[in-house]
Amino acid sequence: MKKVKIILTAAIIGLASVHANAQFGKLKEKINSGGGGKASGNFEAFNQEKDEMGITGQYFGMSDKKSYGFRFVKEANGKIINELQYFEKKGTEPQLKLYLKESYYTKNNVKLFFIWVTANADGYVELIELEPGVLAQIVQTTESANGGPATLDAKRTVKDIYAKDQTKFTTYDIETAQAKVDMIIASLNTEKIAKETAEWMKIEVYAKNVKKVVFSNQHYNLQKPGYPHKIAVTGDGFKTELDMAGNMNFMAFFNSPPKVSYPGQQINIEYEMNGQKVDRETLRKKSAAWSNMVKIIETKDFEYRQSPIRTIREYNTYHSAYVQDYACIQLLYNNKDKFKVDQTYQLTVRFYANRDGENGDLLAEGIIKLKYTKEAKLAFEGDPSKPEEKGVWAQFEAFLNE
Amino acid sequence: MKKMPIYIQKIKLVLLLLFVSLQLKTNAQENQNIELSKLANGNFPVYKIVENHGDFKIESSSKPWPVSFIKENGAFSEIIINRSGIIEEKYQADLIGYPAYYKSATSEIVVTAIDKKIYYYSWSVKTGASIKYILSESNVKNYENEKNQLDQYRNSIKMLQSDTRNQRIEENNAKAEKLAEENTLKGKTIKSIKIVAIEKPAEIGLLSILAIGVEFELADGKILKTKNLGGNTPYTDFEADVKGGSFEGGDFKVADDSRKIPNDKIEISVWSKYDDKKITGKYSSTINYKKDIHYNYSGNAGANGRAYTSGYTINGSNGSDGKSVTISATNTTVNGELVNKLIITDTFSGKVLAEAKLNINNTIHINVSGGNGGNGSIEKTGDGGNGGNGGNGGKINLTGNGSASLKIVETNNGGTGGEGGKTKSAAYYNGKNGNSGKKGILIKQ
Repeated sequence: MKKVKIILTAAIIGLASVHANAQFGKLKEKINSGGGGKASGNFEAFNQEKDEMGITGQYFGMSDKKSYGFRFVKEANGKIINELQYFEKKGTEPQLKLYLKESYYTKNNVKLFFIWVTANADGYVELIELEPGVLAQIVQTTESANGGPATLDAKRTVKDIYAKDQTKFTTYDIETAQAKVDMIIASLNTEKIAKETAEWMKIEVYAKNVKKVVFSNQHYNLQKPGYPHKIAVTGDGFKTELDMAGNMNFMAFFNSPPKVSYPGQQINIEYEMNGQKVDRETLRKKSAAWSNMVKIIETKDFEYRQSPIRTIREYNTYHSAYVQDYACIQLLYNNKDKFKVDQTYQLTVRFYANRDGENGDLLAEGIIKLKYTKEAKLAFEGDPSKPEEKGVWAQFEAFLNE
Repeated sequence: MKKMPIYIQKIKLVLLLLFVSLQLKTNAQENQNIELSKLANGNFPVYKIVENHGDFKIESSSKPWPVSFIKENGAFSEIIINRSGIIEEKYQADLIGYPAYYKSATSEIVVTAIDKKIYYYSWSVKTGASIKYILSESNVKNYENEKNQLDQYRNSIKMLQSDTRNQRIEENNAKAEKLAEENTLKGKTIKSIKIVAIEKPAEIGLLSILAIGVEFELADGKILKTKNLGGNTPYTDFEADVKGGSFEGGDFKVADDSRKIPNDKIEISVWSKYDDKKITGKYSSTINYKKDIHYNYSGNAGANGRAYTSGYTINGSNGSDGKSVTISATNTTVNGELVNKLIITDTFSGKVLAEAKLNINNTIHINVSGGNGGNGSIEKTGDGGNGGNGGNGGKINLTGNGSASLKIVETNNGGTGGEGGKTKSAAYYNGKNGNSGKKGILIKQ
């Protein structure tokens, strides 16, 4: 009896699996194979139906010229479902059901339908209406299922086009459809950025510090580890004065992510003290040693409204050594003869967008008072009681003499 | 010595000239004004670059793209590409006098023409060109060759641009210097200084930030302003004497301890660093302590045993206990507001850790959680290290006549025990997990 139960269970699972695969539909197969859907029959009857989106009808695939049925269903069993049904065989059951991203439609009049057939990126199916009666089928390979459509940052590629009227294929080839999809996504992105800005401005720490550089002796006071995308600090730990003997860290708040606002550019950081300026890009071009020491920062690495945390000088416990930005150390070195114990010195830090070695817009600026304490003097000039430990100036001079 | 026949000499000469001319053609990098002059407005066949796991394939598109070149004052200032005939994309010259590429204001795509081919690509100073499309009347066959040609062009034209670029940088620097000279306080006679609170928040407490700008009226009637008031006078051109907090870059930050705020008000006095306090501007504002405050006296986490230390088994260190603190809360009135004066002391040493004032409608958040235990080391050939124990949460004693009205949110969890290190060898044992610390308590007296 037990054996019979096992066989029956296996058979049921097998049937369910066959059904599930059938539901993936040829649309999914076409995504994976780049064509090859096996449509059967015609769907002219769909043209008699009307829906409020104007989508329902018989469509032809550009790659195989075969006919398919698409039906938009707004409501079922008293519930709003906003479902796009895809048919490649005649019958009452669609081979795939996709769902409307409602906010794109209500706010931007963009008709984007999606379904995650599996949780992997290649299990994503998306259709975007390019114009009434023309749908672009899109794949993306970068993101896994997230509960909604692939994000606007996903790399979307048009795989095929479906049109009610086959003459539309003279207007829409794959490239044209791709251009139109890129344009639609760009318009959604613009709105997303504006909406994000409004949301971020509600956070006091951001609103008070946007376009500013903030400082602290502790990393975690500037940005909670793992939270570059949102504010998770109170700002209480931002400092206006730092002891030069201790950690000196900083971070910028941008009014939009530099990756979006300054695509394809670099970030330059400028330091100023007592009227003297030093910047990373100028030093980087000075010599091979400087080029190795001062790494290029590209805007594509600044994808959030908070910059990664930068350090002027910080003790790294893992390496048991100090990490230093030699560009700023160069500026401090230029000023070393002016430093007196217990005096403070204003340091200005500026983030610029930079293209081909030329500074563009100023993205953020901040001022910190650096205090040259007794301990700082020992750290920078060297401790006479520990001749085996080099001070910062000696280390820096060794670098300059390389 | 046998003389070389004349015809051989002629062939050699022709070959040499051919080689030299080819070299010149290869090495000569002409700016885009010259490259674009070889092209005419019109429809260009499009080749799409398709990348698949590092392999690049070139596909011919079915529709040409209309492209037009805009010339102003003898130089090509803009390229307009009508992508697929439906989207108009505009690209501006990077350096009008000696352009190397045309850039978009909104996308990373740039456009460069070389030998009548128009490259549509993104550029990284680290990895060079990433070509998306090539628009060309002639055939395009090999991606690597096209990329190499474009990379070589971009890298070498940059050198040739340097004179024009330096000229532009100098012009911009001259403008910046003129602006700085007009706005600096150096060498200016100041008649008066006005300190302006850009915003007057109704609620100011410990660590509040107030945007404060400064206006300098000069003897000639001109008014210079700091950046946050729309001017360009640097914050580093003046000095400030401050009570109750600190003032840098146009932001006044209220102190973190009420002992640093005499008379429960903030005061700023500003003077030009070039004027030696002859003229000063003053500002003061009372504080109502209407801001929540946060204190962190949690224990430190124990260090992890470093992994794969063959021959050694390193246990994670124990997390330390959260501090036990006593908070004395006293009702008082400050600037017409009901306030609790708080003195926070280390219960064991009696040392005062902080003093604060807090409006009775606001909350103190205090964290005295124990630190987490460190994880034991992971070993290849040995037992895994034991996880360290979590520290205990601290005890908070609340005393004084304000304790009943004090709003407090305490976090006093015991630290989590560290995870025992795993061994990679069946012959050895995994380390044991550390014990978690006990939760602390809050006692109101």
